Amino acid sequence: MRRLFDEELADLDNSFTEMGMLVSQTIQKSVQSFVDHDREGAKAILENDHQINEREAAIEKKTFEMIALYQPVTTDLREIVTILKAVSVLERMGDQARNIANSTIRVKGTKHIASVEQSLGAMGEQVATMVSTVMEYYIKNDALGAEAIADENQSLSKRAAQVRFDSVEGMKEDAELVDSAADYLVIAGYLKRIGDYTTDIAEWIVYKRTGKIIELNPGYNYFI
Amino acid sequence: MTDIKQDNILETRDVKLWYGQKEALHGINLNFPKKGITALIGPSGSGKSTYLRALNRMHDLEDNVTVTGTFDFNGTDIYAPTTDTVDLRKQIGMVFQQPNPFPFSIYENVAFGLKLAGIKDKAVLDEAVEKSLKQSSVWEEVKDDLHKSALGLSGGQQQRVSLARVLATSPDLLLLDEPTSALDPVSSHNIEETLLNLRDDYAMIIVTHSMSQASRISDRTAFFLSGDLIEVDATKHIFLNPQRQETQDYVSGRFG
Amino acid sequence: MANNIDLKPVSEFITENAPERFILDMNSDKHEIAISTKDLQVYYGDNLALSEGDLSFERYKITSLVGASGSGKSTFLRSLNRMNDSVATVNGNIMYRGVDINTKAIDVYEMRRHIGMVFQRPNPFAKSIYNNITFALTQRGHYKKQELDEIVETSLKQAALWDQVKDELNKSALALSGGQAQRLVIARALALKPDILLLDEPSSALDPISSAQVEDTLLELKNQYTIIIVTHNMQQAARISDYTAFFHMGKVIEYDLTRKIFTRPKVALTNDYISGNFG
Repeated sequence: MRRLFDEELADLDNSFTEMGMLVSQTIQKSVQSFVDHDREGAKAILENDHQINEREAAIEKKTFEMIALYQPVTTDLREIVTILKAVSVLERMGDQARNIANSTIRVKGTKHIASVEQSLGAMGEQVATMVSTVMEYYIKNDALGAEAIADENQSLSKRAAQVRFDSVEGMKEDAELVDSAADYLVIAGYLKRIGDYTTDIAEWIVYKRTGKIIELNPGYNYFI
Repeated sequence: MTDIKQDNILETRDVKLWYGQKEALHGINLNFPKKGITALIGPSGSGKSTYLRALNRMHDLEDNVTVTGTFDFNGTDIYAPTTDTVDLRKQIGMVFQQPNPFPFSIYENVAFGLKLAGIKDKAVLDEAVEKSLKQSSVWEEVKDDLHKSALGLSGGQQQRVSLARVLATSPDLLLLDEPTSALDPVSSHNIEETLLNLRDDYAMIIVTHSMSQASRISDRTAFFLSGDLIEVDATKHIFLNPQRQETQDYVSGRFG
Repeated sequence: MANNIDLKPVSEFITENAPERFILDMNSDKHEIAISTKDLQVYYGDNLALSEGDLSFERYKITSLVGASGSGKSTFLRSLNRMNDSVATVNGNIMYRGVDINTKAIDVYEMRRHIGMVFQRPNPFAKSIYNNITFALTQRGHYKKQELDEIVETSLKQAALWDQVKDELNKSALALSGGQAQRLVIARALALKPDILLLDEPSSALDPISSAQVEDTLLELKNQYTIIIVTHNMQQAARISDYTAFFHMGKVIEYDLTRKIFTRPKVALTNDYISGNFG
């Protein structure tokens, strides 16, 4: 019934979920470009990165305005705070996608480990899905689903550990793989970081729903 | 603030007002666009209500008040000797702090201004009463009781009937002097929603002590202090990033 | 250090079926109770205006009563010092210092020295500032001039008005600004050395500056007084009170710590009201 406020809150919500979907797509594209050794694709990611930053700034600005003008409390406040906190997490995910694109552009190695690249591709798929899934939990206000993202992140961590193991083994066997394998380590690290960020967003979804602050990432770090 | 003339319904320049020898407004320059809500905020004694009441010559009724300055309302001079104040107040309607229905029926309350203007055609009056009560969002609550006394309504309903009475004469500008300060939050909310529904069609100026009300519903906010206009800007600028320290202190509740 | 991070599984604090009411249980071992009500019912004629008003108020805290007009909050407040006696039938117990004060045996005037009331409109008497404060005292007792002087000074200081009026104590109280007049009325109530101060929308007739002065005064006073305040101003309740009780249609719907009510109320009705969602 609070026409103006409710409309603005709905708009804010839409902008936030749209940005989430954009970030999820960007992550997927950046990993795909890496796996395909597609420098052009990676350049396109860098060129579009400002869109993510721009959206973050617009959403932040809007939340500041809504807090100043409407002094929201209870569920309204929690929703706005959740968006304000989670939007910076999305932006940091975008930065990781940019880092992956940068690695793709300056990649030096000419010899690759196909199985590891396949694993990285799978990790990319997984983490991009985690991002879009966590956004769906946001939309559905599904705190239990959000909590379950932590399990997904654990499986991602295991994959990252496997990439590390395979990369190190590759380097031991063949010195010509060192350039590529070093990149694999770094990319796996970026993807692992994005996975951790999805649990950060999940924590805010739980807060939005319940008003409780929880910790979904209690330090089972297999890697980096 | 630079207003383009064509977009304004009211332009006031160098408005000064004296109660006897005491200057209460020190030269206010303030313009109002054709649509939207402007909130006047400031502490008691800041001159915001005094200024508001000058806009439809309410001070004419008081002794010892002198008003100077330019008041250009749609090209006419509000204070010209030829201006008919009854006519003027039809175009610039006012809603007061205390709901003030007349002690007769809801219908008669709303039709009052039109009857005063000589309209007798029942069909015309019926239509105007219904339209005004709908505009002020009270029609659904009173449509079956139109001939009951307006005094039997709740405070919030009375205030919306008062608003309908003002709307019935098709004003171009609505002045609202703390219209919700005597009401509870639910009734206040109803009035606020009503004003928001009207803001695409009317120019409204509201004096309010509630900072949160100003920030919720107004497009522009003007901050008065000690008879001066300190700052006027888009409401979101006033509440997020005001230019003057005095404004900053007031809107953030630092009155020390 | 409190646990800011919750370690329980999320399922434990998701309540699919939000409760319809939640009344904080004031465990009197932990909280010193200043006044409490039991089975309170207020009838205006045959009309039941308030029921199920079981509340306990912690000593030296500020408790806000919020709710729409007609929700019963003012009726409740006024029952606490028997202001409703002449207009309503009040059933139930009001326990103050182990005594039920809602009985015929109670000397209402004496009781009101302990439980004072401040109203919405500042209502100073048409007397000097000094006499406003001493009036009730001199009506009912004998005081030396020096004693009265001391009481006047102490009360005005407590109400944060002394510095502004100390040189004009003999001027009419009617010349004071709204905020000053309201603080004078508070000083007048304090002169009787009450234990509990009830305030019925004490700042709704005041501008924001005067209102802030009254709020500052109340925050000062809570070291020595238990304060219960009815307010329509949600931000005021959030700013100054320790506890908030939400009234709706003659019932207390939710009573909890203010910081909980304003961030995560348990009852959906409270959530809607507190966030201004009256649709």
